[in-house]
Amino acid sequence: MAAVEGGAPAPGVSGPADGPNGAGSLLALAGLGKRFGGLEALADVALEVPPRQVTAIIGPNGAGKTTLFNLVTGDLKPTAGTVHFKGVDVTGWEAHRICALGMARTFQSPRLFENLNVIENVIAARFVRTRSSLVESLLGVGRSRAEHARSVAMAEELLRSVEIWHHRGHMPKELPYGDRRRLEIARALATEPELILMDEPTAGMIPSEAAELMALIRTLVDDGRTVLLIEHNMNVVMAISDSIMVLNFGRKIAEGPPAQVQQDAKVLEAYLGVEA
Amino acid sequence: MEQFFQQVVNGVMVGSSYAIVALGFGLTFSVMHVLNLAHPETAMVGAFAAFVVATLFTTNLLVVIPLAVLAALLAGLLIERLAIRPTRGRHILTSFIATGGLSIVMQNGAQRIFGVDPVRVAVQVEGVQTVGGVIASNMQLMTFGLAVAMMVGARYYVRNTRWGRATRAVSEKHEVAQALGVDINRVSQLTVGLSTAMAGAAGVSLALLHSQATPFMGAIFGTKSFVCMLVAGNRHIEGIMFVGILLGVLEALVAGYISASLRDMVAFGILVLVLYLRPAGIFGSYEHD
Repeated sequence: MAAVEGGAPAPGVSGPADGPNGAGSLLALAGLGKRFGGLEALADVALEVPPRQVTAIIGPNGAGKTTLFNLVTGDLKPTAGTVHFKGVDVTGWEAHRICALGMARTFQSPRLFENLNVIENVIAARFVRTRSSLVESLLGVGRSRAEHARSVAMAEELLRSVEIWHHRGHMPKELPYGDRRRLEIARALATEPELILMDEPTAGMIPSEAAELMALIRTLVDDGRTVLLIEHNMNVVMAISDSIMVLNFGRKIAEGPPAQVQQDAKVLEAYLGVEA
Repeated sequence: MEQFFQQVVNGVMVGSSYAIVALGFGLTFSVMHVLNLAHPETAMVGAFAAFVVATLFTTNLLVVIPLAVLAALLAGLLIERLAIRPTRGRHILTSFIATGGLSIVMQNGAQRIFGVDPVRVAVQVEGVQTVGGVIASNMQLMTFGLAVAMMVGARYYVRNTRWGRATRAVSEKHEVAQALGVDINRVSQLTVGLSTAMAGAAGVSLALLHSQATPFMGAIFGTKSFVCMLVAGNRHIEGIMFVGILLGVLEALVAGYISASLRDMVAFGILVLVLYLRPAGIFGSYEHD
């Protein structure tokens, strides 16, 4: 993993970093750690996320998966290690700057803006891709009109693509659970991310809903986006992931393609107990 | 009946200033979750800025009002940097102490510079309008027009601009808004800046209507505006405006028909009633994450 520190390109250069396999990676974590006082939530995690693939993070509850997400997105500051995104060292950056660079996320349970209606939730996420000044948008002059029209058109298109366009004028609380997740994905996509982090996207879904969501994730990747997801549903993980990292007690215990991880003794032990 | 309508008109004029200051209180509180106790002092800054400009340079209102608003805006941005940004996300009492301390510094600073006695703001707008025996001075109508323009502008900003949408997103779930690319510090500056610029305009209006400014004018005036915010709840801008104007009218009627000494009781009487009957305010408040 030393290749990450030594081989990462200079900030601002978005060329591929040299990963361990020689493949360019969109996101590269090295020695990443987070301490909360005496509790070590995450220690020495290295990960390479290749572009246009689905990478999954699995592990028992409390393994540090969501903490890892929070470190990557800038919601938390790491106490050790580095995060490189698109070849840029974004360690310690504020969340909105990381988002502007092309990263977006969804949450474990959908965290929508309940006081904004469905389409406004998506339009609000266009903030980072619009430039009009306060004066321009107050007076509706300059860049503001064209930008707003573009944002609305894009929001409508996104709502159509996640199949909740018919809900566009509703308030989020009126939506069924599966559609709330879809709205959260549409909102994340509105920031035009290259990398999208999804925290348990199928949690609480019935199998048919989960299958639809997996199809949606596949579409995202086919469109050229990269997905990093946390998932508990093993059917989903095994079916959709190109590679998997397994965390246990804040440390990486295995990684590789699904078939390989499934056979890993340490993984079986973490999930099933010592007898395996 | 003429006297009644006259009191209503006077009340609406004062009430629109309450509404403007209350609006800023509510905006800052609902977006930053910080109670800016120094907010009314920016109205005082606006009033004294009007005094300084009118005394030293010109009494032209097209110069006096913008400069006074600018002074309040700068004071607001300073408050944001010194007392609001550092206390964001901490216990609400932290912001109480920080902004409350600044408020005392500002009051006493003004007293140190300008003295305890009211200063005379010598700007005149000639003429009155009479409709059916009810009189409104052109000065009153002008300040009322200014207040209405700001209320309409604030409402439009929050509802229809990209900045307003980001502001609403921050007010509800700031860490989610940040993950979606909204710079919280910019929103904080913008919110406090707009709020205090409006307070500054209200301060000038009062200084012009009463032809005077005093170092402690923010205190009683601000407390009443704060009451308006609590009574209305922070969910609807229209609600805050409505309560502000209503308070002005009720005060004028109490002062006119019962006793001027009971005037200041109205606001607090309403506050006690509303907190007892509808603690979230008449028009409801946002629930925060």
